Amino acid sequence: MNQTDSFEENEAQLIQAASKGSLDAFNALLLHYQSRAFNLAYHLLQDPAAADDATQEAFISAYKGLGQYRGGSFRAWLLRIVANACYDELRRRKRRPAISWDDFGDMDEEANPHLVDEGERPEEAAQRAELRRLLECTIARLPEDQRVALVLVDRLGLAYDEAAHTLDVPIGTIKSRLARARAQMRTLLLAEPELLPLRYRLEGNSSVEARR
Amino acid sequence: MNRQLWDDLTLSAYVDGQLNSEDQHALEADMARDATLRRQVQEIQLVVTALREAPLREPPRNFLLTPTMVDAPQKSAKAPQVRRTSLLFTRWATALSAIAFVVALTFQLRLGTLIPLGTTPPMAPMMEDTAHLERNFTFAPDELPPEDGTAEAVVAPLTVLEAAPPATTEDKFCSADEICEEPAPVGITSTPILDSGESEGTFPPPLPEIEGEVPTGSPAAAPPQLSLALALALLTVLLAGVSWWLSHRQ
Repeated sequence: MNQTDSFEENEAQLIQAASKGSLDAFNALLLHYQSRAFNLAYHLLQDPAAADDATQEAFISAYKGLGQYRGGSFRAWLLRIVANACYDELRRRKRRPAISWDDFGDMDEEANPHLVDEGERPEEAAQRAELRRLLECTIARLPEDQRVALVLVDRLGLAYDEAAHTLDVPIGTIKSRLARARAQMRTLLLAEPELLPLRYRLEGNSSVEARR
Repeated sequence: MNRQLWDDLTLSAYVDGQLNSEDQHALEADMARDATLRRQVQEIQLVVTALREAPLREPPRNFLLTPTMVDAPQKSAKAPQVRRTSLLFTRWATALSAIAFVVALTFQLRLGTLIPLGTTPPMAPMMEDTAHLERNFTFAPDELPPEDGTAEAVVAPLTVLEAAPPATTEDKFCSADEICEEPAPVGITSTPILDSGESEGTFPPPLPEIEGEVPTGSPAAAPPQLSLALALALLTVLLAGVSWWLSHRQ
């Protein structure tokens, strides 16, 4: 039994304790989901600092609104609050556009050595970080609705129904957005296959090139 | 089934294992015959694998909540709404006031230019008083004061000497302040000189020493500038009041 399985068994107890006011239980839930929440916020807002603020604000809202949780997927419920906080921020930005400090330089974990996994070999870590950067840049070029569906399902590992609950849309909408996003990603990534690590390349010409 | 019928939606569902068994078998049969379709599915699978295996961006910090954070009052969603409404109505009030000001100013300027030539423009009461005094204090050319700058030349044209002789230059020569504080000579009463008709010069009237009835302007004939300014002020106050009421109504 791995760590994730043991957490899922305890999740119901933690949620119950948190709904009775236990901040420690809620923080235990946050520790498990904060990475997914922050990544969703980052892909929606395209700004680490704004994603940080939105994630924190969403977690406070989630704690205060825990009484409204009616069962089902807790992570979908939590990510929905994060997504709503991000949409609020996007609406606010549209009213008052501003330039973020992060536009002057990427606030990445390379600047924070505590966040690098020490058990990973340096070249592997560099390759994985490079792949992540490539995917983030490619995802950023997708339309917002496709981007969110792709991130929820393929990056954060949500099932279709969870993603549909998070975005409050039908499952069919998630499927179609996801299919279009994947097709777009395939076109964008295979246009420059040399940027992908070797294990993610196919031999010979791609079907995208063959169709041209 | 022809591979042309396999769209991105179906291929994506196949990669996720979401197709029903019938469609899945049909697609796999087509893939066995069609290398391009097979490659297309493999590429989607590779994209999905890369997306799922690539590490997530690490959060810059832990987002653990503290009692202080959850006890602090959260930003209300209503508050910005009130501020936005207030700002909106204040902007409208400002814009309308500016328009009213321009209209009033334009109207005032047009009023000044629309008066026909050869007619006397309406005069303010204060101006009428002054005109009356100027008319009363005109005098004949032979009574014009000498242009030697003496105190006598300043005082004498204003009055008709009836009893006392005029003050000499030596007696009256003093500084400007002393002249202002000097009371009128004893025995001299100031009597308005009635229309002489031929006079060409006028002299500033000493208002406090006027005897007789002083004409006053009619209060009913308010000057247009005053009316416009009053209307503008009332409009501005009205708009400000409406904007305040609308912004605090919620």
